[in-house]
Amino acid sequence: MNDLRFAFRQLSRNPGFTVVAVIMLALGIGANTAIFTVVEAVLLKPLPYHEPDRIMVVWADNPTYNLGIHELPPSQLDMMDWRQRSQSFEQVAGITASLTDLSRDGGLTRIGAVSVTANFFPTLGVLPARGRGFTAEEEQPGKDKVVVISDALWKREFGGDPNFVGSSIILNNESRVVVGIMPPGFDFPRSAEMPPPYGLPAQSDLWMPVAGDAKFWQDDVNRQFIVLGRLKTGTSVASAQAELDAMARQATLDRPATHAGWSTHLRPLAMQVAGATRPVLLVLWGAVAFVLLIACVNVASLLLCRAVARRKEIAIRAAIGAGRARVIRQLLTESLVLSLVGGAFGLLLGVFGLKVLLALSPPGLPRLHEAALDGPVLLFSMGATLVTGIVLGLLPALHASKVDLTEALNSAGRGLTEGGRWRSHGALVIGQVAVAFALLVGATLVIRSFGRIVALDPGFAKSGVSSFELTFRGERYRKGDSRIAFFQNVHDRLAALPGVVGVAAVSHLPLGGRENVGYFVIDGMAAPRQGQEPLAQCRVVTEGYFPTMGVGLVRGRDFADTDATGKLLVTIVSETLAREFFPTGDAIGQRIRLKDSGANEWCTIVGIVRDVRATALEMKPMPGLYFPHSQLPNYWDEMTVIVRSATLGRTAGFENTLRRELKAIDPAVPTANFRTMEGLVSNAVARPRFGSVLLGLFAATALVLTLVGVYGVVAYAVSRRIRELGIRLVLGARRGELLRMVLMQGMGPVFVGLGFGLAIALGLGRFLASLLFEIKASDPTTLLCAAVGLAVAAALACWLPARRASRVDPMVALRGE
Amino acid sequence: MSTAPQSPLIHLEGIKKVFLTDEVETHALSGIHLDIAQGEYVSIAGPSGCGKSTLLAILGLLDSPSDGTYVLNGQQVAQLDHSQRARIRNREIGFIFQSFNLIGDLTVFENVELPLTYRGLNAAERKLRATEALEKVGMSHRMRHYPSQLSGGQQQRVAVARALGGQPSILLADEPTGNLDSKNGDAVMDLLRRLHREGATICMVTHDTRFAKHADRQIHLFDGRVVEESAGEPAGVR
Ligand SMILES: Nc1ncnc2c1ncn2[C@@H]1O[C@H](COP(=O)(O)OP(=O)(O)OP(=O)(O)O)[C@@H](O)[C@H]1O
Ligand SMILES: [Mg+2]
Repeated sequence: MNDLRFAFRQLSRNPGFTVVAVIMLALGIGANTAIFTVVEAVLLKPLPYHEPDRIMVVWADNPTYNLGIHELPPSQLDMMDWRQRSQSFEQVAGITASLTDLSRDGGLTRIGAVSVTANFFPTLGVLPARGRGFTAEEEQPGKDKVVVISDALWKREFGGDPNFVGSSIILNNESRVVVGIMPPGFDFPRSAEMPPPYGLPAQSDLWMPVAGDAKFWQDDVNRQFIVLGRLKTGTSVASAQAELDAMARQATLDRPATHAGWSTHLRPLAMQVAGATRPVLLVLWGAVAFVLLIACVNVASLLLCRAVARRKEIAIRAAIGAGRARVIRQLLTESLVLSLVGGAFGLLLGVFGLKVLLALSPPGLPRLHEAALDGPVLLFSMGATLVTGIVLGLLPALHASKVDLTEALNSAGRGLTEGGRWRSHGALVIGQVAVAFALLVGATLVIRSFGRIVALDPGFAKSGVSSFELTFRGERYRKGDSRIAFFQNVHDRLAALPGVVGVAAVSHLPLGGRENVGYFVIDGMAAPRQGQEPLAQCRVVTEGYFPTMGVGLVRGRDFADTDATGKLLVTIVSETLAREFFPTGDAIGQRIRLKDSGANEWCTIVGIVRDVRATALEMKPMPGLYFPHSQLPNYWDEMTVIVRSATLGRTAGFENTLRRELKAIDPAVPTANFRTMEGLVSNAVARPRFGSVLLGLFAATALVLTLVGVYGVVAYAVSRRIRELGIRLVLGARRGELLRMVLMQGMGPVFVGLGFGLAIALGLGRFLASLLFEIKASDPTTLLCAAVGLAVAAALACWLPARRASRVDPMVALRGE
Repeated sequence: MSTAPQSPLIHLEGIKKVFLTDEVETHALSGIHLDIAQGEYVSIAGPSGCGKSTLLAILGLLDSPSDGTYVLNGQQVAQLDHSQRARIRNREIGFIFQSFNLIGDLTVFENVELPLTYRGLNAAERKLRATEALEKVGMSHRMRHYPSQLSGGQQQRVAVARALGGQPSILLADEPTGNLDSKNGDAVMDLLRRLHREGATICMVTHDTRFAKHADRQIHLFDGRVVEESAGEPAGVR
């Protein structure tokens, strides 16, 4: 108790020291609290499903395609095979995107919807709060006109009507009975939690059963289902994986046409959901731990200075009989009090920091809505605070308790200068410079990666293009001619709007979140081995798509109105396709067709266009095939209309203008997803932006704290060495020489720290790998710039006290102590 | 012996020093006239606060006078800038302090070597001169020791060696025995006397009349003025 009172007295006697220390600790603990809150919500908290550890996502992969994605959907037959024969799973369920429009009050509203197998809810272990889930029967065509809706949709669209279960709603022009309403918060799956190109909604509000006949469930070519499996109790991931491996091997033998080269891999759902956010958060977590470490080092350094200054006091305490343990306890009490005060402010800062973090976070960062300052977060902060306090106190305490009594009490009287007690301070500076350097390198790498992604030429116009989706449904647009006429109409009306310079439509908008990939065959080329048929991203586009979207024509010609039904079938290929498959000759004039569906008649290549990075900006472009809508009007029911205008996309009323025009053409065609390319590009870089902004922020904090630390140590050293400096002046040292001396001594540990920092940066580089884009963790320019930058900044921090050192009055040497 | 009217090593004329602190003027020195000849041993005495240390600081170019002329070795030095003063201080002046003022981080040898380093001498030359100076004061056997491992008397002898190493024109000592017991004090004083006999010019502040008498000439300061000059006992007769 005495220790505590003394500790408070000590802290209040040095308000400057206390305030500085508390600010630094609060910064460190606050940043840690904020990040940990997010880490906990996204990575640590179990998913809100029944025994979520047992839920797996089952992916297929075929490395021969080099798609940049290793999470490809299995076929329906695979899914059925696992369901029937696998011993590892209790349930195997499938999910596929489903563009759905709800008719209400004469209008159409796009709803985030998915089609699922009937056992979807049992697989997750979440049952509707009202009503029921699906029955196996409802997987049969004709019996599938049922739907389960989310709590949010129920409240938003139907006023939370307590008797709503059993009502019918009109979806895609069909009536369906609402059989269940999910509990609040259930919105699985969300697009941000799954690989990009599968067209899932941002969050799901509506679930419909997949209905298919026997043939549908035996389809082994199309791959469209995201497959979830619930492991049987007691089955390990490894043994389930082993079983799937065996089945995949068997499939390559039994069904080589569709399975040669394909493998299967399990991913725990929790990992899947955290996805690409996981490495970002882990790196950020590491970064804030570094910041706290540096803050601790600063405070420890301050405490150490005080311990040195208090050597006499401590020596006297020891001389009157205080044991070593007592002295350590006293100093530990002081540092703990300090860290607790810092921790309290840190927690406040953390609450604020979390708000900032949530504001900065990329759209769809999984589970962020679950982030809150709850028990585990408080525990974490408390833990961080206590560890901080103990670490802080220990160093000075050990240092002080080792004080050589006779020396401490005698040497001052002897006219010897101080000094020679800077080893601990030097070590602290080395440590903090090393950590700050590693952080600086990491941040610079991530920021440069971000810069590279932003500066990438995606092959299409990043701005000036607005888009919206529309869907053809029902009898009216069954015939291709009606669709062609519809688009002609859309083109004419929208192109007439003032400011619009181009109008076109495409089946799969780049960065739009959906891709359509198909096998293709080249006329006259030797048939490829099974499982190695080439794949291309396939798009159907209307005339004028390429100039409107800003996709450059490299060779040949664009589609023209002469490319009509009944005429020569034509196609345009991407540069990558032309390069890879026609390396020697000219692609133009060659014939190509899709293997299975759509354009499965020979099409003649008439042009080559620039590659587009359509799935994600960082992903290498894959071969691309374009078909004219005028020849394949029925290939795809959902089309995206793009409108090019330098300025209109940014004006608020433009969306309404487009809606109005479309309504005038045909109010029964549902439109949805009004988006600009700017917005899509911005979303596409949101995650790296989040990472670089935060990492940059933390690195800057670390840098400032480190400079404060270097400054503090050197300034303190100078203040303790005034007399020595005076003597040196008396002996004929020039002021410049003193300046240089102090600078060199201050910079010594900085340089050593840079050396260690380099080792840390290189050692930790692999953790950054997944955040980096076209830059290596060992990038020499980055390392050099960070080192020079840090050294120059540290030199400035040393220079201020060094200048003071050089201005010492030599008279101090003449005066007694 | 020499009768030629040689110009003195040090010539002070009308030296004044005024300190200004908190609007209060302290006249530490109010018109000092003083000549010190080559090879002379001068002692300065006077009550506390009379300006002894201030005078020594001006002689040692640690401080510049507010007014007056200071000629050292034929050169006007009163109004030089910092780095010129540092150079002259390094070459011409050797300081011995009451509180030894050795640098705790440096060994005995390094302490003695330090002013030679500032002069830019090469390592061999430094070693030669530092060793020679330590031999003169009988401390060469402790070269590798740190000051904290020496007694006070030994530390002061090292400090004398440091002052000697640069072969200065004059040794300035401010109460060199003030922190020493009488036995060690005597030893240091004997050392200074011996150096004087060997040709060193010394100007020493001391309260101790016993030691003051060692000097050729005793100067008494009072309130910033020289009030009395007297010859020392003819101990160092030529
Ligand atoms: N830097 C300074 N600022 C203001 N006044 C000063 C300063 N240095 C010395 N003085 C004043 O000048 C006067 C002479 O001081 P000085 O140190 O020369 O005395 P001293 O004769 O050496 O005394 P002592 O025998 O106690 O060492 C004193 O009144 C002192 O207070
Ligand atoms: Mg004095």
